[in-house]
Amino acid sequence: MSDTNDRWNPDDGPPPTDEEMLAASRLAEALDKGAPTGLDLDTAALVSTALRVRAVERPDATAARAVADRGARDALAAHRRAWWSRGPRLRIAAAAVLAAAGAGGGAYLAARSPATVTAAEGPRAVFDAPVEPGAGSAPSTHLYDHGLRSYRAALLGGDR
Amino acid sequence: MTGPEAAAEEERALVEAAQRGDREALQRVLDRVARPLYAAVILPRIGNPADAEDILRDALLRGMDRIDTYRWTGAGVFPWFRQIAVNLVIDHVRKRQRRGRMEDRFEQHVTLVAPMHHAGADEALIASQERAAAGEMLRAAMDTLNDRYRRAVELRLIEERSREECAAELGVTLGNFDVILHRALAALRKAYGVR
Repeated sequence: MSDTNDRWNPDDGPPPTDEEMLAASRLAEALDKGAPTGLDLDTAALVSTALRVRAVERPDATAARAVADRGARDALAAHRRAWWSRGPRLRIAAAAVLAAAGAGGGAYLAARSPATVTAAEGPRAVFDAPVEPGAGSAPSTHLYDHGLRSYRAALLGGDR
Repeated sequence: MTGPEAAAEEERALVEAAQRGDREALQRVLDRVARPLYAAVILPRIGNPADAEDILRDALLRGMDRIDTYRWTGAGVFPWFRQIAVNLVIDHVRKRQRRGRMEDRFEQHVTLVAPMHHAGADEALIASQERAAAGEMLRAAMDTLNDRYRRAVELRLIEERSREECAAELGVTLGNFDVILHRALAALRKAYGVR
């Protein structure tokens, strides 16, 4: 026990242990630093209580205004960034779907033949299908068409 | 239309414009709520200015993301943002506190104070009412401390006197003053959490 305890006032409760004096000293040092980081949990909780007292009893209106205005500005900027990052993605996805639908539709009509495979049959069916006269390029077209349908189905849901 | 009614109508129009995607209106809504939210709601409950600023930013962002779900009430938009901020304060404290230690009491504390102002109230009025409520809670907590502990808090934190001056005022050594303040803050923390 420290010799400072020789002058401990019994009105202030039981004399402190060395451990308590150490914790009190850590708190005093932390309070001198304002709002320090890297504190142990107990000290941090007491510093937080002290800062709450100061915030209520000695509000710094100028500092608070600056922080609040910065917070509003930052939040608005972050919201705008999020909106823009969502916007192009949606626009690109929509454009891709429309382009795919146009190109896929054209290719489908151009390459339409009895050997056309469905999404349910899978690409294997292309290789198993008989090659008919004049339909030399059909298998590769059917593969492309099948891939396009799968892509659209994955993107939009269902078999479109 | 009287002054308060006109102010409430003006706020309602502003919020509805923000809900329709008017970014200037959204910015004015934020300008209206940010200062009282930070100075009178978040900071007095968190203490640490850096953490309070993060919570303010998150509260405003969340509010903007969900502004279309807001439904007009006679109290205006501030209580809605206030509730978002209070929820974030609770989340923050839950993360920081030791598991199961005092979250329930803190939650009671941060949610008990109901907003008292009306729609269209300016930010100064909102801030002063919120601050008055926070001051009342603090004084009630301080009243639970014994006289010397309370005096230690007043001297060091409210009057911002030096440790040496505080120790001299209480007639104790510097080391013993630190212990008194440590005990006083531990007791205050418990009492401040309950209300």
